[in-house]
Amino acid sequence: MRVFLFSAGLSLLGHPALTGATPDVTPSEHEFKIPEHIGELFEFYCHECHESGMAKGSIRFDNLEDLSHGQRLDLMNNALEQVYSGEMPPKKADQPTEKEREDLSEWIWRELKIFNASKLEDKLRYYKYGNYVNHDKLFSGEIEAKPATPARRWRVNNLIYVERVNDVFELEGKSRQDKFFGLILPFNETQDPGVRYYDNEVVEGGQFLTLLSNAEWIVGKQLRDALIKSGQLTFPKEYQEAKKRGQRYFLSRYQDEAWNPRSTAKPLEAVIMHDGIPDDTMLQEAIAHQFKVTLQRQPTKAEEENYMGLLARTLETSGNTSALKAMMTGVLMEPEFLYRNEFGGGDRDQHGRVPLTPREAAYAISYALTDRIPDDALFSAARRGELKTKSDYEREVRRYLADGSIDKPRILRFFREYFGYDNIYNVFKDEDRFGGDYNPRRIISTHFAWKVPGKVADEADTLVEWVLQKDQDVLKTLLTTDRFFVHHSGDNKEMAKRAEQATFDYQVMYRELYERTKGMKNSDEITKEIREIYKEHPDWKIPYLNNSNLQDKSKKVNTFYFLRDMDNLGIIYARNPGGPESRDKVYLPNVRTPGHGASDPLSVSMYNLDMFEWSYEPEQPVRLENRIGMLTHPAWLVANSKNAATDPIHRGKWVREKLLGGFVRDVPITVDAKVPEDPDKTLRQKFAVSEAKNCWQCHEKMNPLGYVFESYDDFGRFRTEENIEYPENIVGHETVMRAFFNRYEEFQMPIYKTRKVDPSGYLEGTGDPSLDGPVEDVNDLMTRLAKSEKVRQVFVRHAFRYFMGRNETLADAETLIEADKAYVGSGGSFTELMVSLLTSDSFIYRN
Amino acid sequence: MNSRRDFIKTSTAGLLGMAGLSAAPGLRAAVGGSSSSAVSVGVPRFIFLRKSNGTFPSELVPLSLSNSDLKREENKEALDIDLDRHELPEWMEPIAGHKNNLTLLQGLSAKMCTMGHSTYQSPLAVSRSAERASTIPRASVDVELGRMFASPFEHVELTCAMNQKGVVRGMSSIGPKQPNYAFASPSAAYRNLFAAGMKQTGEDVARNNLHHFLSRNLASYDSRSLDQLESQKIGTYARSVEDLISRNRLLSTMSDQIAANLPKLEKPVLDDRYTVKEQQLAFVEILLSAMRAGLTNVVTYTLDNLQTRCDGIVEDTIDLHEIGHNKALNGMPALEVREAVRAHHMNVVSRIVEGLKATPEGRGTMFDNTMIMYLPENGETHHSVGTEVPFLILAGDNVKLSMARRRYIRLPDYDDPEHKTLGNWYTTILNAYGHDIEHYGDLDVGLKIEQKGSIRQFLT
Repeated sequence: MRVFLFSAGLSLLGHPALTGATPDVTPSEHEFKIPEHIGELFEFYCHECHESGMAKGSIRFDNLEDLSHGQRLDLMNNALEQVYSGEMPPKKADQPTEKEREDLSEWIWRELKIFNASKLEDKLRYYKYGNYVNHDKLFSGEIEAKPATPARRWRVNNLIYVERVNDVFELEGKSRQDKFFGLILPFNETQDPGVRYYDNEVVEGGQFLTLLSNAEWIVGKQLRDALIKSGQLTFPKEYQEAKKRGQRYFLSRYQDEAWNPRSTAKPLEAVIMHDGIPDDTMLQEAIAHQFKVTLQRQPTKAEEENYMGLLARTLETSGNTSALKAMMTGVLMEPEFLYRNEFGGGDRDQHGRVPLTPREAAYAISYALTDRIPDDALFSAARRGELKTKSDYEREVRRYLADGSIDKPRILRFFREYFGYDNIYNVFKDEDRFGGDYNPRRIISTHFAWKVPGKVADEADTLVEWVLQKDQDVLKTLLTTDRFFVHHSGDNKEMAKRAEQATFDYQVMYRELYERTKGMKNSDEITKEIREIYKEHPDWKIPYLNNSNLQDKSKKVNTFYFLRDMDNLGIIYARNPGGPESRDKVYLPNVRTPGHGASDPLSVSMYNLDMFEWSYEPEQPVRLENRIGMLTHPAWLVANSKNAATDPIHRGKWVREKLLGGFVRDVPITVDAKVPEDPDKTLRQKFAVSEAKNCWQCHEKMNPLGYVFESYDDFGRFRTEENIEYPENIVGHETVMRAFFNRYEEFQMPIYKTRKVDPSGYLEGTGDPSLDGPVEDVNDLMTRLAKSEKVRQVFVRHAFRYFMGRNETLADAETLIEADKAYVGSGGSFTELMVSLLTSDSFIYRN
Repeated sequence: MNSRRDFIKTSTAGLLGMAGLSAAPGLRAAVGGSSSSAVSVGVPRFIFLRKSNGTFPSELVPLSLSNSDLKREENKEALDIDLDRHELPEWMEPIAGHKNNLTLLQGLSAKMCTMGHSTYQSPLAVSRSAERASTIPRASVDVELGRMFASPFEHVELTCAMNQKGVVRGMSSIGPKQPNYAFASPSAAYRNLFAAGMKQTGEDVARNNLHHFLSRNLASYDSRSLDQLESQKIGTYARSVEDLISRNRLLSTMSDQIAANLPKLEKPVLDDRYTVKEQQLAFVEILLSAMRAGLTNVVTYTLDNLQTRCDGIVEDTIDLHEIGHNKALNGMPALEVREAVRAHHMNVVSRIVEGLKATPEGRGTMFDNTMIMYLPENGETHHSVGTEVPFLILAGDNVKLSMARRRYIRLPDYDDPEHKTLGNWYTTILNAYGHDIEHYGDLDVGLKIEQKGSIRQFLT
């Protein structure tokens, strides 16, 4: 007989691990036997498809007792996932009642738990399984459990880590560094769309040496000044000589010298400079200092004793400096520096929960919105004990949100991660197919806002910021807006100024430069002419041809770049003859010269605009035809595309998971999914293979949603005809002008045979019969999705995950319902949604 | 895994089986040499030397090719030539004395890799990897090899990229989404690899004390009553410290062996003051010492990348990126600078080969079991697309690849039915050493030929 200590039903909490249930039989005592009522459930709901003779998917439940132990556990794990998530029985089959589903899940889970073999709990901690929790039940209002987050350590990410290092050096304002040469970003971070920063990350073994090396580097910098003063750090003659040869040369030899802290903190310096073994007070002050700058607190008595022990052991054998370094490195390797502690404190309430301590609360609020430790006011509130109640939290959250001087990058980052449009960087595109410079020359780093992918992703950011500024109907606007920012910074004033300057440059200054140097090839001759131009127009500033530089007789124009720029201008002027009638034409704002950055405007073609003909509106966002919302933004479309084709599967999967709250199981390892080659068919037609019975079970959830985006090619350009890109389908070539390596040049673009795009699809899963059904095109789909209550609630669920750093469980129902109410009640304000989440019990309490 | 008898049989047959070679007397002698030293003991060793800026395929072509062979070379048609009869390009002068061990391998495409300026893990993991760890699909081939032939460190990575110092993110990968770490300064490598063989300094004692302190400190965290994942967070961290301590303990049992093989480094180098040339040569000492001491059997060594400012090689500091863009260095044409860099690299290679040849092992030397591969991370040029990754290979007599000595080989051109990729090449190496993988690395989606598997003629 089995007896379990169930404190709550499995389904109620939505997370078996939270039930606290543990089987009281050991594996050796256990005899596998299916209870009668469970056997009846299997018989009624499963055997029709999964018994001898049928065995769909090669799975049978009629012989569970005959399977080997390992096979049975595998099969039961699979079954638990399917039953728990509601995937099985399939929708078209008879459905068990809620109670029957709970009974079956619970029994399977108990069986697995005896052998500690259940995989579901672990899976449910990962973002990709977040949607397993029953949506209808979450928002039903039936759940009475009180929300709380499990006590946890939440590993910092690279951004927080760098900010924490800034704090160790006590840097403020402009002194703060985005990165430090010598400090390696230690953590591997996912780029998958969705919520990326979760509390399930650990400091892995491979990262340890890097962290240790980083800590030693930080300590070296902290002590640098004192070591110089004490004569322990000296620099050879070459160092001084290198310095004399100028910054560039010096840094080429001594790159780590690019940044140094101004001084060593006094308590640390005192130990370094002390002759002999320092007394306890000096050592305690050094420990206290390192704790303060690293962990923003004083050491506990026990910690102080531990570190004093380390110092005592090391001082005699290794001397003051080595001992001090060991102590400082030790503090930097404290888990508290690498993890955010959220254990809670104080008395448990009647639901068994404890609130975050005021100090933990300060960190939690600050890290919800920023990458930095709490500001002084927040620390101060914590110290005063004014971070305990919901209203305390609300006061501080609203203060942070309202304070423009506090940078809050995490708000925009939510949208970037949720939509995943920054994945545009990861999708390699062929430049010939694009018709010019597309790729960031593979310099794949944080510094590639230039070139097409970076620029288009920035434009998506700008759109989000614009919507957030209005803060009304945020989700609906993001899903349905027909306004976009194209080749624009988001600042209309600044862009108007730039446009005015660009118009002058192109119509007056460059034109004169172009006309007066036409035909010249010789650098001396060109330089002379430019000097003449400057004589006549001393106020002109021709980029890269600086007047004061050219006054230096030894300086000459670099003909390679100059002639390239003039060639480019010739092409622009040939297309736009100019003259008084076109004086108001704005030419390529942002582009400093027609050469440097010639590729910049190429991105406008992704919005079906011509880089030479479009007006480059300074007042934006602009209304664009055939675009509706973020899912028709080129950044999102490319992020969800293949190298040389669209990707209706992943586009559909995104809608299914991020808007409809559904899920698609991993591709079975036995499936070698391939799209057949066929030079006569559109991609959609070729995807007909996925409509085979075995494939459609999953593809049904994606294809009908993804197909509507076939109105856009893999560069995000709207289309009604699809190029069938096979060599045998080339029917000719057209001459197009492209920018390649900053030079405009003619290019022969192949013309392919085309076929009409079919953008129709099918919407299922909103839970609203008036919205579900066949859809005509992307416009139809997005309009319906934006009306869906479920879509809005799924968005709230994603915001919850982002700010809590974990998946929701059914026990978080109250938090989610309140957050949804706050969002709806405020007319779709993301600010109110954030305030609701960050003052919720899920945020405040730990269990 | 092949038996030793099989190996001798297959390597001899393989070498002699190559078209046009069976009559070459010099080769027969070399084969004879190989079979005699094949009975020596010793584990296989691999050294991957990465360089930046690409290697133009023309730079590997022997100077004395016949007109007809030159034409075939220009047309990228298959070639298989005994180097014995040919003069090496001038920049290979430093390794001319090791011609019997040399193979120049051309024609391996790498279009499935990230190419261009910075290729990250791509050329060793055969993938489109980028800066973001999430783009790494697998353990790189060097790491795979390191795991096949166990040693305390399995695989060691050294790097002169970006003039960094300390322990940095490497260009190999230990698994999906997991970049390796690399020693960027000789001092960091020295400290981490050889500490067990050194007389303990005060700083070493302090570091050792710190490790034990961390271990004890972390152990105290285990008492917290959190769920399994939460305790894993501290557990994994604590294990890393324990692993470090355990490895140090294991290394301490090898202390005599390590002490006997300590690299000889100048003090300024150990104080992190060096030119890139000095750094490169210091790493050679470290590499040789690590192999001699049995610390590792596989080393990946990045000689430079495009962000390395190279000083000490020619009079001025070389900005490799500018050289890649054909910019002269104070009047020295870019092509000459490229040649000087390569010639310097060959000095590095030569030091490695000579160091290994000077180290007895069994009846032969350590070099007998070693395969050195000098490859350009960027492939065929500075702004590359992966049409070719030219390899310069130096292999000892026991190396289990039939092609790996005194050959100039050009494999058939891209899209030719017999064309081979970087993936085929690494599959060949892995298969030769008993890793029965069908194909290593990503496939080239643009290549319309069967592209899985090893290069069979190199295995026979």
